[in-house]
Amino acid sequence: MYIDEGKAAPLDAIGKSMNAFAQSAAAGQFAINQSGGDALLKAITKMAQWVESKAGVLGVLEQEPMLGGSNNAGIMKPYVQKVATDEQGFLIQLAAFRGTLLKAEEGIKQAMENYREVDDNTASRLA
Amino acid sequence: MREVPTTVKQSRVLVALVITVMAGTVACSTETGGRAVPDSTGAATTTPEESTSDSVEPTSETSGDLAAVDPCDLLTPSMKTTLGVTGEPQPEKTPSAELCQWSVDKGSIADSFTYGIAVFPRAGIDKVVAVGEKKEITVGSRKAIESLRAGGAVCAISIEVTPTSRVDVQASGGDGAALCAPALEAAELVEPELP
Repeated sequence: MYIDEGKAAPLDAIGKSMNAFAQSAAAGQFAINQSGGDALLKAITKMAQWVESKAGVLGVLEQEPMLGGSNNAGIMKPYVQKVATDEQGFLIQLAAFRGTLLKAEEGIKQAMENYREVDDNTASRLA
Repeated sequence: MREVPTTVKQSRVLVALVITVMAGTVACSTETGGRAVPDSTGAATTTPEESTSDSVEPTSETSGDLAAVDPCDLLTPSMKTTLGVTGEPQPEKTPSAELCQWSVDKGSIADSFTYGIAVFPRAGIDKVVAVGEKKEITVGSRKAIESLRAGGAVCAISIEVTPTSRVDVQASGGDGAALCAPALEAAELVEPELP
């Protein structure tokens, strides 16, 4: 999911961990109760909203910077834009991070469902 | 013949004289009644014909001037309800634009996204920088450009205000292309509010 090179290598580890988390939740290997799950979901949602707002700001920064009309400004403008929109760097990582959060949300919701099933089974056995 | 006494003669002369003076005073008078008031201020007697502008619309010296427009004010409460905006406005300032963003929470990260309105007072739609194609469309009666930004994570509708200024209405999330429909929906609501 992440570019596994240079400084991005640690982020690749996060992506792999989150995939494993979602898979183990889907396999019913752990469960989360309602209040714990809600707290985790709230934190993940906030993080995803942060990612979206940063993407929005970057989309504006991509537009022509107001550096004036001098020769030097004309030379600098495309470089300023390229730094903001480097598709091999930060933007890619940002998009990948949002995908990771999506996986985390799926895993947590599945784990909450696992807890409810166990709870219901236990309740029906005791009844 | 009876002689008129001197005192009577003098009295007649005096009365005639008084009558003559009074007639001259009445005939020559140009004074008008009333109290004199100094006219010290030129506008003292003018009626206030010009009304002060209490309009909530942004003031501008020239038509289409976006310098005084706050993007956070362009999304009214009724628009927020229509668009499903759930978050508080988040203002940002960049070198070329003022931006305001609001989150839309649809219950899952997959369906949620963030709206943004960016005001560019000195850049027209001809200055739009995009990822891929720049599609010419119309919003209301204005020319506009639909394009993707930020590596494809943002879909923006750039609405022309003047040839050298514009307002971008954007939606950012996972898949920018899928967010062009909600971005256009918001742009159509915002367009009538623009100068």
